[in-house]
Amino acid sequence: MNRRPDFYNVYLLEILTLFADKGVAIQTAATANATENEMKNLMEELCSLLLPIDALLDHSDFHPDHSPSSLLTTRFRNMWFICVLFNFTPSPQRASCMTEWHIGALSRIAEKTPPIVLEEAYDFITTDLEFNPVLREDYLDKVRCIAP
Amino acid sequence: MHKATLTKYIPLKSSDIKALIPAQVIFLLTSHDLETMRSSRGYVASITTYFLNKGVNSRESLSSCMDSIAEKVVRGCLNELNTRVMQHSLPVTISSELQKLLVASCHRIARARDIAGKYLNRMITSLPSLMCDEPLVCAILEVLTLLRRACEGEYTDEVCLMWHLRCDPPKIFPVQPGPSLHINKIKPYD
Repeated sequence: MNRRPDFYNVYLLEILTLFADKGVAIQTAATANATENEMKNLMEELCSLLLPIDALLDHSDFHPDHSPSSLLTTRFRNMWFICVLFNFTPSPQRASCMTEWHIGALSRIAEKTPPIVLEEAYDFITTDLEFNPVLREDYLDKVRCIAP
Repeated sequence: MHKATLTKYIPLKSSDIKALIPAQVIFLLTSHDLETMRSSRGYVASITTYFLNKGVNSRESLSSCMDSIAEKVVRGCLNELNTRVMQHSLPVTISSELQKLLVASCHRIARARDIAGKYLNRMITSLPSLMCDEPLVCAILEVLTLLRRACEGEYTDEVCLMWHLRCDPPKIFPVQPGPSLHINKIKPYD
């Protein structure tokens, strides 16, 4: 990978898509009454995807935060939405799969994340929030009732 | 669950939070967590980008919560910097981030301008040693020069043009890349 810097961007886009897809799959599994053990395994798989993202962003010649494309911004935003949804970020009830390694990786990812709101995004609230396919409404309804 | 967490972060806005849909709550929590993590690592300027989008600014409850989140992030960041300044371990990025805030404080969108100006003011008031940084002082001079020229330009032409001013290569301090400003409707000598 070090010798092919022109593939950094493609690889990052793919891995962020995978992260979001996995996040949606977990939400679907949770609403389909998956067992606790299955959920734990799925969450661990999702957590471990943070490490390759961090490793990729760690390259000193890679700066996705400088003039990012709108596609990359959307993918990063979706990744962060999933992280917040499953409590990967610092919150009163942090997910159990987040070890010290993952916490460090997540803060390094934060450093190189481009701004997640674009000035020119038209109808941001409706398109990117209300009808965002990575946030499943039935899952949001389900977690709404759980106390923090 | 997420709504309760958000209420815990900004308790004064609990009535506004009640009006939000779950996706908006996730968005606000994301902005809080992401910016807290970024500012604790010395990347303080990106909070202003949340105030650039028309959609976010036009929803009353969302934008009022966003204000409180920015306030909380700024407060947290200042506490962190105050501790680190005692140990002489300020993050190296702070100078370039303050320059970004400085340029953002002249942004053509009023809300972003206000937040950046307020943030910068509070940082420099509570940590005056930040002004000992040469690139920052030069950037202030360059921004002031650009603003003065923009005002003079409008005064002599007597029209409201959209300006794109650029200090490149910067005359005052040739090492750093010069700031650039997008200015519209600046009233001369206002």
